[in-house]
Parts: sequence; structure tokens; C-alpha cells
Amino acid sequence: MQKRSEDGDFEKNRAEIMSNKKAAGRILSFLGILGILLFGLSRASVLMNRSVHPLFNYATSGIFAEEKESIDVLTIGDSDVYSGLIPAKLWELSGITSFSWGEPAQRPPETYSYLKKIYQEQNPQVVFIDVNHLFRDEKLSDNLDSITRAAIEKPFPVVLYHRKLDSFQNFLAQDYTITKGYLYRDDAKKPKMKKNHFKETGKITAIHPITRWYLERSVELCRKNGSSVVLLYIPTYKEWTYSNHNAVMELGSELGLPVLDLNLEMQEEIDWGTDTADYGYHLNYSGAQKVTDRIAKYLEDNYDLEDHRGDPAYQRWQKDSEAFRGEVEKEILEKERREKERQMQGA
Amino acid sequence: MGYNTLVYLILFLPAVLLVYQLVPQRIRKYILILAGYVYFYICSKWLVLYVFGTALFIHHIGMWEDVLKKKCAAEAKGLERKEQSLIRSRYKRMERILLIFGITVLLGVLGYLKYSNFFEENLNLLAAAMGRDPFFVVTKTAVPIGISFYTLQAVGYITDVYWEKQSAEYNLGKLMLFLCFFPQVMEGPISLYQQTGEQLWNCRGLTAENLSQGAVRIFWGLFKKLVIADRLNVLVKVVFDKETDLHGSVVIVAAIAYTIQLYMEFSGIMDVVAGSGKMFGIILPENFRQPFFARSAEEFWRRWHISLGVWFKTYIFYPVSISGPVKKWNRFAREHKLGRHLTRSVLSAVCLLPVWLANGLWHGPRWSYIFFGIYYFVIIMAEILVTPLRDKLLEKLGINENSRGYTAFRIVKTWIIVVVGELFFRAETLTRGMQMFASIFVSFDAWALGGAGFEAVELRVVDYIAVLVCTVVVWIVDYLKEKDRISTEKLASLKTPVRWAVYYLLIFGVIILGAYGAGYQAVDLIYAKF
Repeated sequence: MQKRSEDGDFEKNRAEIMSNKKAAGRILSFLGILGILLFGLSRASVLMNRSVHPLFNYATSGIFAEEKESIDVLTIGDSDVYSGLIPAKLWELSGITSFSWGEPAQRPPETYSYLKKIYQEQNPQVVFIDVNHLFRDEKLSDNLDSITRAAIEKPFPVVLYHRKLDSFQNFLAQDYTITKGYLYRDDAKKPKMKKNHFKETGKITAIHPITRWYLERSVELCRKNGSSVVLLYIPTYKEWTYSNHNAVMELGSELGLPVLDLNLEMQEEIDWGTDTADYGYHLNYSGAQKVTDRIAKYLEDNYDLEDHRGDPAYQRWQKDSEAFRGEVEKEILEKERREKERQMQGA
Repeated sequence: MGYNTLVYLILFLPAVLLVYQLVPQRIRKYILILAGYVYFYICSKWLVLYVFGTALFIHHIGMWEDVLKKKCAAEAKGLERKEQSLIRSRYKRMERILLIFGITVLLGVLGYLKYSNFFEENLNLLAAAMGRDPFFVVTKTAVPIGISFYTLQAVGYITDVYWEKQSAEYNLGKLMLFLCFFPQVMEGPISLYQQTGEQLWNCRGLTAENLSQGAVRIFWGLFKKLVIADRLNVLVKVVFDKETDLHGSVVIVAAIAYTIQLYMEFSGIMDVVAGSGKMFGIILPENFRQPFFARSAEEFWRRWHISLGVWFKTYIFYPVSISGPVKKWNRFAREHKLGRHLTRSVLSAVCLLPVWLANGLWHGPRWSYIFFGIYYFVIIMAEILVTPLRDKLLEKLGINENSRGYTAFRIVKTWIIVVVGELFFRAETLTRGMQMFASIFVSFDAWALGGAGFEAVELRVVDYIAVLVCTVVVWIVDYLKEKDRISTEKLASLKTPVRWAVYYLLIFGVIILGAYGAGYQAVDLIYAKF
């Protein structure tokens, strides 16, 4: 009797193990197919964006099409970077080769992982790290989310590229860009101005320890590669606060880094009525020109960078900068034509 | 850590599932409690002490009530009936005082944390109007996540013990888990202790079936939230954030968009929540039952945020309807032959007013929410009042109440009621809501839709197409659910290739069409702030 019940138990266990095995097999094959599909789609999305690097901002990936070790100055951070600095203009002013690397809403873990990639091909002498993106993830959960995202984007770039899957024209596009990362915008939308925007305060915004950890890794990486690092705050009326400024100053002195807060330094020069594309979030072309002038002067005062103008090895930069100017002039003419048309219609 | 974030879906949930499965069965419940507290801590830091304090508090109140009940039974034992009833009523009174104390403390904490600023600000406005100095210095108080949800669960529990619908729970761990099961802490559903208390404590092992059904539900929720709601948010935000005058047509489109956004968002997140629960084998109460098939406002609320409606019905409507004054009114109406309709109407008004005031206030300390509550009170009362008239009219016109045409008419009428309600719900202030509503009648200009109204909306044509097509998909699924032609069980019975194709379609629908990442702003969960 007992034997039979033992047999029964054995049979039951066996059946359970078999069914568990079967279930596990099914789950694994489901996930296997999912993995293959994800990988395939990722490849397709990369092709559609004409880049092997999982980045969203198409122009940004152009840095990998540049000649190896040809970039003198790299600016890296979020959208403020590609809105605020014009490499073609910097070349015109001082013959320095630079790249504006910014992804929309880029986070510090991404900055670190992109920097590692960039250093495989470039070795900039000066790296400006945009500080605005240090204030994005205030909470632990936001930071963890950014880390997870940075980790997934690598094997499965479709997570990053998904928005552009409909842009078939990208199949035809080139990696190489004459904008060197900069995004041209000519809209001028004035923000609501605050009375005490630049009023001094003793408050210091807290930077999350995880954010800081990634920043320190990035700085370490730059230093290891012999680059000088500068913490740069590109003017942004909406996102800058005095307590953010204090936090950056504190960070700079703790990490032994120079800080260039153009929000304060250029408060007289930047006209928020004409220099922002979207109510104070980002600079437009007019604002970016002013910032680029200022950066050119800063580089001249503090670093001994070679002027490559006239150097035959850098002929392409001269051509690109002229082509960029041509494009911008076309845009400006086009805008004027539209304005006129609108006025005519109004009349 | 919203339920739609990567950190929840890829790190937190799988980690908890893994640890849960690896540890021995008797430890699993503690893993769930720990997970709940860690979740809470990540979102609200040390305010996690509030939820622990609440568990400790209702644990004590419950036990105290139980002691009184036992004492009462012991004292009454062997006595004559009259003396028994004297003792019983004495103890009942003590229990009632205890219950009122419990509810006052729970709602007091909720009220203080959530509403004190509102009252201070309004009293200061009053002071200003009278030309006096402000009464209060308004300071911001930190509010723990989900407080409006777990507080209602806590009040429900101690009331159920008082009503003897539920025996007092002596195991503190069980109550802690009941209040902090991590999938439901942020947005509910608000469950009764009978619904989830025991279930959570049993901690069955994970099964492939539960895991896959849970995962499908999660992806379905993400589809609604990421593909539709977050995309519509771009449009809704632009229009509702505008401070200038709007054209009526723009307001109508924005209000419809917001209504769809809110439904996709809230019901989507509820799918993620239910799916997460299902993975552990926990069946959480449903919060939505195809609300846009409702034929009246009253029915809509039996299909929308169901757990909140059930809570209000159980703990407000029901107690008020059996309270002294209401009973007196019933007697009075019967004696004076006031008729069934009038009796019922007055009764409904008395019982529904506190329900709808509470509903409005529960959503937060804003006049527009209070107005929202009153709006539904008025609409539902109107529905009750016109019923006899409507019935007569239908009879005269020879219209069958259940005919397709008439049902469609009622459904569309309910949509209009809901969309107008959500317009006020979303508007920045009550005054702004009024202005926007008025513009529908004052400055309606259909041409504005193509031009100035939406110029700042950064959506591409493909975005609009995605929203439209996916909304239709959700609508079809809801329709099939309404007709009981589709369910997770039915899906599970499909042939493997077909079923897997559906799953892959869903997963890639979310990945490719989801409005997440660069180019879109991450959208916080709307209901998490309530």
C-alpha cells in the first residue's frame, strides 16, 4: 500500500518535473526568438540611422566619421550642447577643431559610456562637460532608470532609435556631417522673465551621489587620456538657478576643475528676447554664436591650442565650415522669404 | 519609480520575482514586505515610516476592538437578555469611540499632509480679502506616495473589524503586507482586507502560466500608456498649459485627447499592476471594466476606478443610508405618502452628496477637483430625477430602451458628460476650466484646428496615425471584452504560433511605437500624485 503511494508520489513528481522542464523550455525558446527579433530590429534601426553607434542625435554620430585623433575640443552633455556651440564658427574664429556632442536629455551614465567610445577614436585636448545634465536625475529611482537605459541601449540600439524607424530617408544619409553635432534653429521665443532670476543665494542644489559617481568616472577617464576638463554651464534661462550654480562651483573646487558658468558671465550679452529657440530652454543660432565667441576667447586665454587654418591636412575643415555657412545663409534667406510671404498674406 | 519605468520593469520586478522563487516558501511573505518597503523607500525615502506607522496603528486598533468584543461576550455570558443588551450597547459605544478615534487619526494624518496647505492658502486669501495679514505661513509638507490609497485600505480594515465583517488580525506582518504590496502602493487598486490579506500571505510558488499571463497583461498596459497616453500628453500639455484665449474647437479636441490619455494611462498602469500581481499568483481587484460602454454617468463610475467607487459605497454611502436622519426621512415620507420617486430622490441626494464631495477632495486639494465631484453629483442626481419622465417619454414615442440606437445615444451622451468632466479636472484652475468651457460656445472656430491652436504641438503625422490606430485597437479589444469574446484564458488556448505572434506584436508595438526616450518627455504617472 505504502509502496503504491510512494510510486504515485514518484510519478507525480516526475510529471511535475517534466511539465516544469517543458514550461522552462517554452519560456527559453520564446525569449530566444524575442532576442533574435530584437537583435535583427536593432541592426535594421542602426542601418536606418546610418550609424553603428547607438545614438539618437543623428549629427552626433558624425564624430566617428571624422579623421582619427583630429578633434581638439569636445563638448559633451545634453541638448544644450548641440544648441549652444557651433564648431564651424569656432573653426572660423580660431582654427580649432571641435565637436558638439549632445543627446536630448542625455544622462551622466550615458555621458560616461559615450566618452569611452569617443576615446577609442579621438583624443581631445580639452573636454567641456556640460553641467546642466547633472541636475536631471534628482532621485535614486531616476538614476537607476538612467543606468538601466544606458545598459540596454548598447546591445539593443532599437530602444534608442525606435522613433526614427519610419525615417527611411536615413538609409541614404551619410555619417559624416558638416555641422559637427550642432543643430541649427532660428526660432526666437521669449521666456517669461523672472525678477530675481540672477539674485544671489546661499542655497546649494543637491547633486545625487550616483550622478556624481558617473561624473567622477568621466573626469577620471578624460584625465587618464590627458585631456583637460572644464565644467561648462551653457546659458539656459529655464533650467539654470543660482543654487545650481553654487552646486557646480562646489563640485569644481572639490574635483579641482575649472568652472565656466556662462549663465552668470554672459547675463548682459545674452538677450532672452532674441537668443532662445523655445522659451528659454535652448539657445537658437543667435545665442549660440555669442556663446561660441565666448568659448573661443576662453580657449585662447587658457589653452595653447594650435591654429589649423592654412594647414593642408585640415583643408576639409575649411571646406566644411564654408559649406555650413552657406547652409545657414540659405536658411536665413528662406526664413526672410517666408516672413515676407506671411506679411504679404497679412496685408 | 513608476510602474512604466525601466528600473521597475527590468530591475526591480524581476529581482523580486527571482529572490521570491529562490527562498523557502515560509520566507517569501517577508520578501514581499521587504520589497514593498524598499519600493516605498526608493520613492519617498524616510516617509516610508508613515506606512509602517499606519500598519502598526491599525494592528493595535483592530486588536483593541477585538479585546472589547471578547470582553463584552465574556461579561454578557449567562446574564439575562435585558442585561446582555445593556452590556452590549455599552461596549458597542466604546467600540464606536475607538473606531472614530482610529478613523480620525488616519484621516487626520492624510488631511494634514495633503490638505493643510490648501486650507491655509484659502484662509490667507480670505484674510487678504478682509484686508488683514495672512493667518499662516504656508510651508510645503512632504507627502509619502500612495497615501490616499493605503489610508483608505487602513480605514476599510478597522471599519470591517468593527462591523465584524472581518476578524481582527493579530499578525502585524499580514497587515504590513496588505498595506505595502509593491505593485499597488502607488496607484491602488484600493483593496479590502478580505480581497488580498490572506492571498498575499499564502505566497504560492511562481508558475509559468502566471508569469506569462502576467507579462502579457503588463505589455498590454505599457502599450496603452507608452504608445497612446504619453503621445497624447504632448498635445494635451501644450493646450492646457496655454494661458491665452483658446478656440472652442481646440478645447474640444484637447478635452477628448485628455480623456483618452487619462483612460489609457490609468487603466494601462492598472494592467501593469494587475500583471505584476498575477506573476506572483495574486489576483488584485479590477479597477476598470470598459468604462466607455457605460450608458449613464452613474454606470460609468461603476466601471471607472472601480475600487475607489466600491470603497465610497461601502464606507460612506452605506453608513449614511442607514443613519438615523435618513431612516427618519424614510418613515416621514412613508407616513405622509410622498411617493417612491421623491423619497428615493431625497435619499439619494443625502447619501450621494458626501460620496461625491469625498471623491472630489480625494483627488487633491484643488477647487477644480471639488467642482469635479459636485459636477458628477449634479449629473447623477439629474439622471435619477428625470428617470420617470424619461420612461414616460420613451413609452409615448414607442422607443425600446434596449434598442441599439437608443443605447448608442446613451453611450455618446455619457461620453460628452465624461469629456466635460475631464476638461475641468485637467484645467490648471477652476476659473481656467470655466473659461475653456465657455469658449466652446463663445468662440468656436473649426478652422483653428489646422492652425494656431496646435502649432506648438511637436507631434508628427505618424504620431497622430499611431494614436488613432492604436486607440481603435484598444477600443476593439474593449468591445470584445464587453461581449465576453476575449480574455487572457482564451488567449492562452490559442495555438502556440498564433499566440506567440500576438505576444511579439504587442512587445514590438511597445518598443517601436512607444513614446519614450529621446524626443519625448517622460510622463509621470497621473494618479500617483493623488
